[in-house]
Amino acid sequence: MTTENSRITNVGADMTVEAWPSNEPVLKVRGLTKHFPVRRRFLGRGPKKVVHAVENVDLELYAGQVTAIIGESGSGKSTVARLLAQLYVPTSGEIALYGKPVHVKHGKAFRTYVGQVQLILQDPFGSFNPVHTIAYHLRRVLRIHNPSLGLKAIDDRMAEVLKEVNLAPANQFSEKYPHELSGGQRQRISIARALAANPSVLLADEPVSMLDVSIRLGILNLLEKLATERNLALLYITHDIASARYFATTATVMYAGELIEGGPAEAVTQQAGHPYTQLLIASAPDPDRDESVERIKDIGQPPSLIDPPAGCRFHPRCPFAMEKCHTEAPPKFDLGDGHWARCWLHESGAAATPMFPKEE
Amino acid sequence: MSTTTLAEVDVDPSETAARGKGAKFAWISGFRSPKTIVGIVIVVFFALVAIFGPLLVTTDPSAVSFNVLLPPSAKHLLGTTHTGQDIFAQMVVGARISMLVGFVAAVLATLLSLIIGLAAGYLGGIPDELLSLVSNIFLVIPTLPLVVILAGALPSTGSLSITIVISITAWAWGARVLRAQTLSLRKRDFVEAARATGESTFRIIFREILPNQTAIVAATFLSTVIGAILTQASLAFLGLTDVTEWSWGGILYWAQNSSALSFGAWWWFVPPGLCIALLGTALSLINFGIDEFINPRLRLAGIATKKGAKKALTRLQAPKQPIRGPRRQARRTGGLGSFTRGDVILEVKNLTVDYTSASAPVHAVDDVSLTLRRGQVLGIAGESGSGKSTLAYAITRLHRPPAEITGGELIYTNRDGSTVDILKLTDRELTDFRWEELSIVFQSAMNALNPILRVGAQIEDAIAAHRPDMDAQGRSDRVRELMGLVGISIDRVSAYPHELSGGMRQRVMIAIALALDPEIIVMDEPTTALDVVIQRQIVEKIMELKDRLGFSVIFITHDLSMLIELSDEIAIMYAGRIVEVGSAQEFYRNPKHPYSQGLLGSFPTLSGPKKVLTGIVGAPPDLRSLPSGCPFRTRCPHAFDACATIEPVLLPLPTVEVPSANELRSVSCHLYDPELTRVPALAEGVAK
Repeated sequence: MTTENSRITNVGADMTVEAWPSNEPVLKVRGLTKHFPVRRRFLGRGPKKVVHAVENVDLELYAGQVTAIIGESGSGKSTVARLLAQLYVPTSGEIALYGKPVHVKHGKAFRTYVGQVQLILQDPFGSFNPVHTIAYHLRRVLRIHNPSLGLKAIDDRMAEVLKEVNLAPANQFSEKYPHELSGGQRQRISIARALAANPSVLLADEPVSMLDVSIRLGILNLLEKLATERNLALLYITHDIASARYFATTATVMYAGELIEGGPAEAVTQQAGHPYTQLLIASAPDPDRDESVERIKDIGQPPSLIDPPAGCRFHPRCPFAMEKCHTEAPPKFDLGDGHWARCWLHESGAAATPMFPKEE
Repeated sequence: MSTTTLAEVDVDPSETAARGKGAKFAWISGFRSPKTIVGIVIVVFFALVAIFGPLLVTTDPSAVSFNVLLPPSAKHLLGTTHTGQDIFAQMVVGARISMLVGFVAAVLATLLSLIIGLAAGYLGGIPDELLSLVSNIFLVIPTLPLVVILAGALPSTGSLSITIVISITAWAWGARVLRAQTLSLRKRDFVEAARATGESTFRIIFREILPNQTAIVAATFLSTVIGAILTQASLAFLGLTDVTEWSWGGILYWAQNSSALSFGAWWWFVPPGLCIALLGTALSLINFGIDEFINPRLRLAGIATKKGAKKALTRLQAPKQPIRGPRRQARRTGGLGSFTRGDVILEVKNLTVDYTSASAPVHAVDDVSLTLRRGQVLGIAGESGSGKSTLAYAITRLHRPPAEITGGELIYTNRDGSTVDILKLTDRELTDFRWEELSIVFQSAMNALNPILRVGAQIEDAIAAHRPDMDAQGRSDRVRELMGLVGISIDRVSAYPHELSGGMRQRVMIAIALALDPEIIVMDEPTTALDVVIQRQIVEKIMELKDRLGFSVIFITHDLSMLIELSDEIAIMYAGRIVEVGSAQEFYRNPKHPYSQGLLGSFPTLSGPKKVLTGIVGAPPDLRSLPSGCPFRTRCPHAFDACATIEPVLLPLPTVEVPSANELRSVSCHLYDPELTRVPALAEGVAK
């Protein structure tokens, strides 16, 4: 316990954000897995069942860059965010912050870690305590992560972070209760709260999906600006593949607890290599779509994660499924320029023939 | 493109400052309710009596005299006992013990239930199971016998022991309620957010969770006070306390022992009973006010309604009234007349829906006119508060108070060309009309299925209600046909709703909507709660069925890109009004209203080049305090002086602006009003 603590507390002290080489990931995840136990009946027998919520996820977040995880509900994308925020304890796998493995659960080590890695939740209405003012929420974060600051300094810092999210003058917002602000304002305050800890990694779990359409881009642009200005490594979790294309440098696609495709956002959204990504793209509303190109057709629905399909988890829905897909889980196949897909269609030989109607 | 311009602008600084000041003293408003004040006055009175009364009463309550069983008089305010003791003195002195036992026992019991409830709820697991077991055991044991046994077994019968006995038996209910509350609060986002900031468990429990339970803690405390006073009285009455110590229960004990009832000495037993009842009522009255007192949302609402509503009313009415008359006239005659060609099935004319609950009526739908043609899809797009859902409810006349249709017509054209105003239908006619001619699929509809009925039976119910003469075989065939239509396999006919996925349940709702071959289906966000892939399936199914069965659709959503894909004609709603109408494709190519342009610029696209998008500055407006003139002007990049003074109306575009001769486009914007020339900004706006 103590050795681990000292390792973690060192992170802030001897490794500044500036000194970290920009080609090395700030947060690096290897084989991250989370199984939630299924509640058994009283004196239940038989093997213990688990929900395979997240399985063997590898991920890198780089300073100043936006990485997206695209997935539908139940794909496990929000669980990944909570695992990275250390709100859940991983079943297995390793999370490394600035190259140092992290195993924290509570106490000082946890505080130090969350000072570096901050989470923004989806629901701007639920993520504030209705009985406290905005100032209370912000002051608490500042106080936790800067115990030595005086009252005046804390209020100055509060005004600064509010200004950073374009809520000025600060006193117009800080003395209000959460319900007195609009959804967009509250989401900006969520961001301000995360910034107050002065993190180097920001995990944004569907930060705009509950907001009105006309204000979503304002929030996304703000997050992008912050990522650049503060050199933040930003994880953007979304179900909206078009916004990931707009907003992210790197995009990954998650299906049934696994990352199935990843790479530069433009490559993933324009030359999708995995049939599921193609299905997502074909399903997304897009008035510019060329209607003459046939859409990939969907069959079925996402599988149960208590007993996921053997082999490739997408094979029961996949129009291109082969014999092999039923038995063997596909490894990562490299599609060039850092673009990869976990799909047997890209195995050498198979990939030579154009399989996808949408491919160019 | 700089994003720093995207500050939120919908805050009026002066108003904010005023409210900020008010908020500090707002908690006082909890005491404003007359009920609460009465409650507090009574409790304070009894508390003062209990504290100071015994010092002021000169008569010794235990002193006997020869004035036995005297009724109330000036000398003995509440009469005397059979030994000539002064009952008034006994009441005043007894108040101290009764109140003391009540309040101290309540404090102890509430503390006990707080500790146990919070610990069980927050820690969960084994501590929870053990603590819940203990509190459940306490709950099922009848309290009074337990107290009697405990009190009987005690070595001392003094007030302290009685207080402890009462608190031990009274905590369980509160603990249970608090545990349940803690369990649900623990999973709330703000608790998770606090954890993610690194907040300690101790502070999460006491600063995040506990303040949200103040109302329950207070309610538990207040009801325990009166419960404890009653229990003390019962114990004293049974003689289980030290009866030489005066308390209200003790008075009752002596009255009972001396057969006060048979002497008709009502002044002996009525006062203690009455005082206990009065105190109980007072505590309940305080309980009423406590919620408003504690919850900041209710607290401010209480203050805001009277003053704020008046202010909003004046703001709403003052600048608009003078311009309204002439503008609206122009629109009625020339405005939408040109749209009424082709095979019109439904015409919405100048529909206005008001919310009347606040002291100032709010126009949720403000003078909306629309035309739906046979076999076509009319898309209505808008953000939250734009009035799109209110419009959907009003068209189907399913709106509920406080919403009220205050003007307009809904003209439905039958197949034979005859017309009927839906707003003039009687309830009976409306029941037939709805579902036979017009049916509805709502966003929450897929959760509206009855969880204990099989889905087949629910589809059948819709048929049976409207086709009473159809036999069981006919209905069952129709159910199978409908399930086939919407793409649910027949073997799911006997499934329960929870056995189906969200997409399948929405299909069931569409099957129910189709059950009677309606001419129009109104769909309000039918796919919003679904994943994109499922959403695409549902939308394609709807379009396929529309082409096959020939019904018309009013499709309402906030997702403009989807709407453009599937609609023939599109209407954009903002602040309760239609700001632009046109054919979907033309609209997409060349939106005219700055709001439409902004909205279209808010959707990143998957195909085509990546461009910088900005969204729209500010937030959707609050209908209770709309800006003067054009409601969009505070967010509009092209606003000029006329926008603040004149309210724009929906007018057909001048022909110069229309790219093709067939294009019918109406816009509610001064930029296109030839009388108010301000053209330069226009070209730039459209280019974007």
